[in-house]
Amino acid sequence: MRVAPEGVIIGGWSFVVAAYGVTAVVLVGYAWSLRSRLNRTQQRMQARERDHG
Amino acid sequence: MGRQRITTIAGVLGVVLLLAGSYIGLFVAPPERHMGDVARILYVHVPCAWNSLLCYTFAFGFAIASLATRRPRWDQLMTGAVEVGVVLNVLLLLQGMLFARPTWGIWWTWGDVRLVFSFLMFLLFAGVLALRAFVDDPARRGTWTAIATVAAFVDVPLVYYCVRWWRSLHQMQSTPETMDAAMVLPMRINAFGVLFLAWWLIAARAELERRRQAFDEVAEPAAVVVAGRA
Repeated sequence: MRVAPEGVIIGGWSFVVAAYGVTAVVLVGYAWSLRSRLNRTQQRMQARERDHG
Repeated sequence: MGRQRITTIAGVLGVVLLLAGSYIGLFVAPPERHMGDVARILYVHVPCAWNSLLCYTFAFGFAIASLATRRPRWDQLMTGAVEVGVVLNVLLLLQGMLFARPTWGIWWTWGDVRLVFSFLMFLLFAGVLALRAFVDDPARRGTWTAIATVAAFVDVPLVYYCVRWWRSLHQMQSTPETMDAAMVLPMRINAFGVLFLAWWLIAARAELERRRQAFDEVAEPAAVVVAGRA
C-alpha cells in the first residue's frame, strides 16, 4: 500500500481481503457453534428420555 | 407458514444478500476518491455496526418485556440478541482496525471516543453473557441478566451520537446524500443481509436457550426429590 502525492491511498487490498475474510470466518464459525450446541442439547434430551423411559 | 420456516428463509436470504452485496462492494462499486479500494471495507464494517446496535436495542426491549412479564420467551430472545450483538460487535472492532491502519496510520487509539465507547459496549454486553453463565438459579439468572442488559444499553446511544458530540478521528455518519449511488447499493444490500442473518442467528440462539431451560426444568424436580431423600 502507498499514498499518492495527492493524498489518495493506492492499493490496500490486503486489508480489504482480511476484513472480508475475518467477517466470513466469524459469521460461519458462530453459526457452526450454534448448530453444534443445538445438536448437543438435543442429544442430551434424547439420552435422558431414553434413560427415564 | 410456520415461524421456523420464516426464520430459515430469513437466514438464506441474509446469506444471499450478503454474498451479493459483498460481490458488488468488492468488484462493481468504484474506488473512493481519497481512500481508494480500502473504502470497500466500509461495505461490511458499517452494516455490522448498524446491526450490532440494532441487536442491542432489541435486547433492551426484550429485557424490559422479560422483567415486566416474566415470560421465558423474552428471556430467550434477549439472550439471543445480546450474543449476536456481541459477535457483530467483535466484527465491527476487527474491521474497524483493518480500516484504521491504512487510512489513519494506526490500528487503534484510546483518544477516539467512538472507538473507546464501541470497545466498552463489547465489554459491557460480554459481561452480560458472563453473568448469565455464572448464575445457576434460572429465576435469578433471567432477572439479573435483564437488569444488566438494561444497564449496558446506556452505552448504545453514546456509541451512535458520540461522533456528533465529540469530533476526533472517526468520521460522522454518512447519508445517501453524501455518498455516490454506486456505493449506497452494496452498503444497503449488506445491511439487509446482516439484518436477516442476525434474525436467523437470534432465533437459533433463542431456541438453544429454550431447549436448555426445558432440560433444566425437567432436571430440577429430580434434584428436589434427591435432596428430599437426603
